[in-house]
Amino acid sequence: MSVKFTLLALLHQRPMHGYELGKQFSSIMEADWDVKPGQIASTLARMKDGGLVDYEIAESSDAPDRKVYSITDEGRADLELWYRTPEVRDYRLSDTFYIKLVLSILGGPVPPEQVLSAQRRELYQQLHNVTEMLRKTDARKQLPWVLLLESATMHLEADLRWIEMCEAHLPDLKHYTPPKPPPRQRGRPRRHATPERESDGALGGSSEA
Amino acid sequence: MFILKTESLTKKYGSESQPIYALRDLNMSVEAGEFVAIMGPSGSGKSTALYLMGGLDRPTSGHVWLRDKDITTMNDDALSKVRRESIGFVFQFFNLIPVLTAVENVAMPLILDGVPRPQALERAEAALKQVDLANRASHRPSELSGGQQQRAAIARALAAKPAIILADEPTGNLDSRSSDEVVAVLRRTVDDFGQTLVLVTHDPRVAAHADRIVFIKDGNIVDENRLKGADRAEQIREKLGRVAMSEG
Repeated sequence: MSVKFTLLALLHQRPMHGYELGKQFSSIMEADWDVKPGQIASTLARMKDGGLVDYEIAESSDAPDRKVYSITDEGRADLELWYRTPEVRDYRLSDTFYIKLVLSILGGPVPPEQVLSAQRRELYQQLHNVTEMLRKTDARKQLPWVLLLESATMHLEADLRWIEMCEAHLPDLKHYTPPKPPPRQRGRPRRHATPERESDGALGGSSEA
Repeated sequence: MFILKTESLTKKYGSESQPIYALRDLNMSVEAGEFVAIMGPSGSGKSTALYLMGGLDRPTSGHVWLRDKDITTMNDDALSKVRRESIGFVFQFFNLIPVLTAVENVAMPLILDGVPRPQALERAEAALKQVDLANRASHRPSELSGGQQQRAAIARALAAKPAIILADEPTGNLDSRSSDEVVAVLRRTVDDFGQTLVLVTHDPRVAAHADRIVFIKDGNIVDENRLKGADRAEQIREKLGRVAMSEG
């Protein structure tokens, strides 16, 4: 979550002083998203240096003078670019559970069936938790939160479907053997070897080592 | 204390030389006020298990205890009495009678069971209220959405005040929105009225409402998941982070 763009988005609505920004920040982020006042102040200072925000001193008779921040054209352009840039999700191609499963298929103290079961139990526990939260949430009052919970539900459902798929393929997977690593280069690198080969040889550890 | 318990429950088809087991030595018990979901691939025996638990079919061997009574040793008359009085069924297809209104559909089994009509209708109305359908009491099934029809069917099962409700893919014929609505009603009967409930489903979203999930494969339990309560939910909430909600 970007403190910078959250602040810019808030200032895009209207100018605010630091304390007000802090309060808005917490209420908008549902409950208590932990952002320290110092973090807001330092982000504002950095954005002021970068020309994204500006401030005016608001004089007050009964309180200390306050800096009221507003967004600049440059800040607005930055914010717009942020909105228009899609977020890239990590599709977990280096998922630790996947690694665990593959290793268990290759042989280990726990068979892959049990590895899959343990994972499924955890996924169902999480799905149960999210379901409980959905049940306790009033969709009319907290629609954004409901939509986030729905997103979690759908991801968990997809993970569960994938576990089922792995289970269905287990008999075949057990015959799986990983491809052999390429043979190691031995001896000195050849004189007229291509640059790639040379580096291969060097990495492979030569007789000089 | 268990409401229902199966003991080495077995259902075998085919010949002696080549038997096919739909269910093999199934041992499971359901506690009072518990919501159990049975999951498994198709052909795993999950529906067979439910039908045997409800006395809709007879096992090849083994027993089903409903509280202190073994329903597998009962004769047909005694069994059908137990089914009417103590077991509520909910099926994928709602099985409502088209020409009757919702309240009449719910009251019907009670009337057939000898409850005087006014009392039967009164109990039916209370059951409809329990499933949030009081305002649709005089509608015919064709005037109700799928979710509402299934809720009426749940009310019909509840009206007899059964010891246990057995539901076979109750959301299998519904879109996801109606499905949520139906399973929320089922959950509420457990939370608010202490109903004991066993439900067969292949839908993780539905099973996630349960207190316990039993996974069946090749006619037997392969895994079981007791789902923990709400305090863990808060941790997940933390993990999910917070939503940006603009006040405009």
